[in-house]
Amino acid sequence: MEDAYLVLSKLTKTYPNQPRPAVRDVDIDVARGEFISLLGPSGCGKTTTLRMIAGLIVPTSGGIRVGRVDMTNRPVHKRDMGMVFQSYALFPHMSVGENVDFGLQMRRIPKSERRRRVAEALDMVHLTHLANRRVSQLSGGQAQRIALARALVIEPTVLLLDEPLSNLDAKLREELRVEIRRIQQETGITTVFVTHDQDEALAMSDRLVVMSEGRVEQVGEPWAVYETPRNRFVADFIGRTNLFDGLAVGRDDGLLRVAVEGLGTLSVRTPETGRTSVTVMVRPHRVQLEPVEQLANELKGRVVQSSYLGDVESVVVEVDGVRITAERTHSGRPLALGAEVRLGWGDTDAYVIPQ
Amino acid sequence: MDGVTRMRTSSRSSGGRTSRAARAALLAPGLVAIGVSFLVPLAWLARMSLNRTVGSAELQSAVSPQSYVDVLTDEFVWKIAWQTLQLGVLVTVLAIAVSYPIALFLARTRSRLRGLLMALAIAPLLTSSVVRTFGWLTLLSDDGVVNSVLSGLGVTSEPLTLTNNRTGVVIALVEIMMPYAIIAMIAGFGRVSKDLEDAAGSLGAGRLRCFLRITFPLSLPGVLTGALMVFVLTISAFVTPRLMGGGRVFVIATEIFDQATTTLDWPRASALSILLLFLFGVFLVLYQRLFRLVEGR
Amino acid sequence: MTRRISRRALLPLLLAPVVALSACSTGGDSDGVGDGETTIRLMAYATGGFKEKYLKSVVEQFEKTNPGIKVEYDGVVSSAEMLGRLRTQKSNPTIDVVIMDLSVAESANKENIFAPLDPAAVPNMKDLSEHAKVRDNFGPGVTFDNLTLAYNTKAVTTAPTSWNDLWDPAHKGKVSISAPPQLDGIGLTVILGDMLGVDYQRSIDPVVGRLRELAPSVQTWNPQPDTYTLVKSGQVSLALAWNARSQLQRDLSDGALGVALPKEGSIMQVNTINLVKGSKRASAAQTFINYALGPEAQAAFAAEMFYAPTNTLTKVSDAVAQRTVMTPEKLETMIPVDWNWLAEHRAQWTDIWREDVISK
Ligand SMILES: Nc1ncnc2c1ncn2[C@@H]1O[C@H](COP(=O)(O)OP(=O)(O)OP(=O)(O)O)[C@@H](O)[C@H]1O
Ligand SMILES: [Mg+2]
Repeated sequence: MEDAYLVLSKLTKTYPNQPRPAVRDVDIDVARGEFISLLGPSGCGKTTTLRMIAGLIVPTSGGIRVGRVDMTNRPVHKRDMGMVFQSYALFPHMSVGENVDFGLQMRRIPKSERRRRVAEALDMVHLTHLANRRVSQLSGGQAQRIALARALVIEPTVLLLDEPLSNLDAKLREELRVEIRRIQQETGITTVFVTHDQDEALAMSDRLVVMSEGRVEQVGEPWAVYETPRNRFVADFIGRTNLFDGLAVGRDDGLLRVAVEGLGTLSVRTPETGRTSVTVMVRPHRVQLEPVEQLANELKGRVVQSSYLGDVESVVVEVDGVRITAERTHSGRPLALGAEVRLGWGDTDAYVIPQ
Repeated sequence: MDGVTRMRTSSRSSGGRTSRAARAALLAPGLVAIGVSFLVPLAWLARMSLNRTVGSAELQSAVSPQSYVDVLTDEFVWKIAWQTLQLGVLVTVLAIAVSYPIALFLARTRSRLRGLLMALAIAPLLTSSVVRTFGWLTLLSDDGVVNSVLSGLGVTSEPLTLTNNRTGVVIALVEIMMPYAIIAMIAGFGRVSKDLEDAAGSLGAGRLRCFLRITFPLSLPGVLTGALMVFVLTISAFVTPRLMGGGRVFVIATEIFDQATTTLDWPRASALSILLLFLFGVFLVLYQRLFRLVEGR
Repeated sequence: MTRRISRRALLPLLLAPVVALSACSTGGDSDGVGDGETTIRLMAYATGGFKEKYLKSVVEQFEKTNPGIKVEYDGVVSSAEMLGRLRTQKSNPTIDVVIMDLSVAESANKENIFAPLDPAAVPNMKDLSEHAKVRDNFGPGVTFDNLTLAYNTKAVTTAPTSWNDLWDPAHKGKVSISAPPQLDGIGLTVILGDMLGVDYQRSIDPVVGRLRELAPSVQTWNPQPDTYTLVKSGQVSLALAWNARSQLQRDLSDGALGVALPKEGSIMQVNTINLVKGSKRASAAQTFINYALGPEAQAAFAAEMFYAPTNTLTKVSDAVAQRTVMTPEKLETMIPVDWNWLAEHRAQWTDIWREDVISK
């Protein structure tokens, strides 16, 4: 990327006495002002990567650069990066105001300016009235906003957040998502956000980095990662999905014909892959139950499972031994188990995974 | 398995009264033990302190504040009380200073050797302070290891007198108190956390400032607990001042011992003990105040 | 939560020293009455070989000649501790006979812990030395001991002859003195008073002046674990010591420890043998006391332990006599001591020593 601001190159970390690296050859470019999320299952190396950026973990090899400055060997307190911890990490022996002030004090900024900036930071998170509170008297949401204010008040080059919302309840989490994103856009700060919650990642990020076992699996905008996953792992990890392995048996006019056991031959609109053994992905919400129009792929099956989730109903239909998950968004009574249904999807509703 | 589950459910369902009775039953042995091992002797001590000693060492039954008056108006008592406090402060400061880095390291390390190191740090508790004091007597004597090393290195030309005086008492007490200080401090380091130090680092605090502004203030409850422990154990220490002091170091505990076992003035010994206990009480209250202060509550 | 618990756990720890101080006084109380025969309980020193030697030379012989009476020996570290135990069982004593230092026994006599002896039941009393007799037939002296100089024979090649040798600069930092309230230091004060020609009951100022000159030479005022161990090991060269234990240690150490009685004389320490008031076996107890005061028992114990006999009819070998204060010439040099007066002024002297000698 031309205008990359934060650049990780071949970043690798092997912990002492560990056979395999926790993070391996990670290359990520983040543009100035961009919000990217590191997403992946537990233990995939998100925190390790983030802490290497922060300077809290020394990489085994590889480099970190911010703008033109090589950060790889710079100690944490000279990196000018703001970090927000899952545990908030507010200093319990200081008031809210003192917490926010701490980074400014460390920078030996004059008192009057400090006071102004602390006030601004508290104002930004709408907690001005809590300046004199003890940290132990804050709610989780308030604590997290203060942690954010404390990280931002120093005007860092990069903002790093490690699962900042995972200790909060669902409603608060959504509220803070919006808030963090608002503040990030207002300040225009380059942000790396670690989460294992894909909804969070999809909703907030400019781009996603999907990781698995220490490696980057895919980098891209949320829609792109969701719609066109690069491999089976990403397809499976992001969102719910149906995956069918089959053989490419023919091709005409941009349509690939794929023979899948139990389902017959499916039609998928896709560019040439040149492979015979392929995996077809269909997202459950693209599968229509009892379709009213003619579809490229139509099947008949029996309902074997139905979960009513309020806004959608998730239905599993068995077609000749193959299970297909579909989502019904219209209202009404859930489908009865054992009911015979028709289902189908168009040739652009499916996607052939490249690898 | 089934039985366990049922028992749990039943004890939970039967409400407050049973659980209070159960709690009382659980507390009873402890209370009885405290009563027998502490309150009864204490009452005996309080009563004895009101008796009188006449002539040489004749004990007369009485209810008289005489021994308190005697003790409180005795210049020598005030002098040894002062010396005892001085010793307490000195040993506390040194023991905490020496133990602090060890305790901090043990509290924070994630090394697999942590258990072993911890055991090493507190292993001295397995031997009695008498044995350890005699150990120090040999190490610090004129021809002991310490003096041999010092003169061998050419640091000293004549052996330093490190035993049979205050220096020896302080050295031995500091070492003897270290395990207590370490344990108490580790227990009180609960608020010291890697995350907070990392946060301070990310906000621009170098190692020293991180320690001064974050780690040290957060470790104060532990330091305070350790200090109280060491201080109280020191001002009541008997064995080491007695064995190591060469008869030159007078503290309240040795005075109580002399009064109780040599001069045989039991009322005076008892009065001194009660006063020492009173002192403990004062320091306990002081500690609680300070603790609240450093915890910021 | 953890913090709370740890703070609460502190309390017992804080209280431990007090408990230890206050709980130091409980005595055993098994009953000594057997079937057919009487068992009396004797309380005496546990330390310094006393128990072993006394059992061998006195108790066993007594039991042989008095088949109806058994003696159970209860060893206790010090006279003061003995008094402590006796105080706690004053209303219902389990001990019948006590051997302890005269000055402590005086307190016990006054506290009605001991009873006077019946001269008819203890006929040997009439043959006792004047120094051993106690007012109103209370327990009389059973052994005499005296202060001496103990020295390490490697460090001090010519035996000391005078108390003034303590001041010899050659022994600087190698002198051990048990300071008051220990009797050793009290006794030394009396001896120096005599040497300086002052009446210790009037003023000890000159003595204090002399002691202050000694202070820089003194390694310890409180020898640990005890004087004799320090002298034998060479940790100190010269020490104020008691004759009996020194003599015993001389033999046990193959002469590493030497004993010298200074020419200026010494003071005598008296151990008395006492009948506990309220003893349920007073008659058997007095039978034993009488035996202990008899020439046979006195001679046997003197030969074993080098305490001088208190019974004037006692015959011991010359060798033994030379190592105790038994000989008339030595007895001549003994300085008279009013232990009763000293007991009352012990605290005062202790303070003087601490203020003006040790702290200087
Ligand atoms: N200090 C360490 N020593 C050894 N191994 C470690 C250490 N810290 C992390 N690991 C290992 O490195 C791998 C990556 O850990 P990391 O904490 O980066 O994962 P994560 O993606 O943040 O997981 P989570 O979502 O659970 O927080 C894991 O297998 C973990 O067990
Ligand atoms: Mg993590």
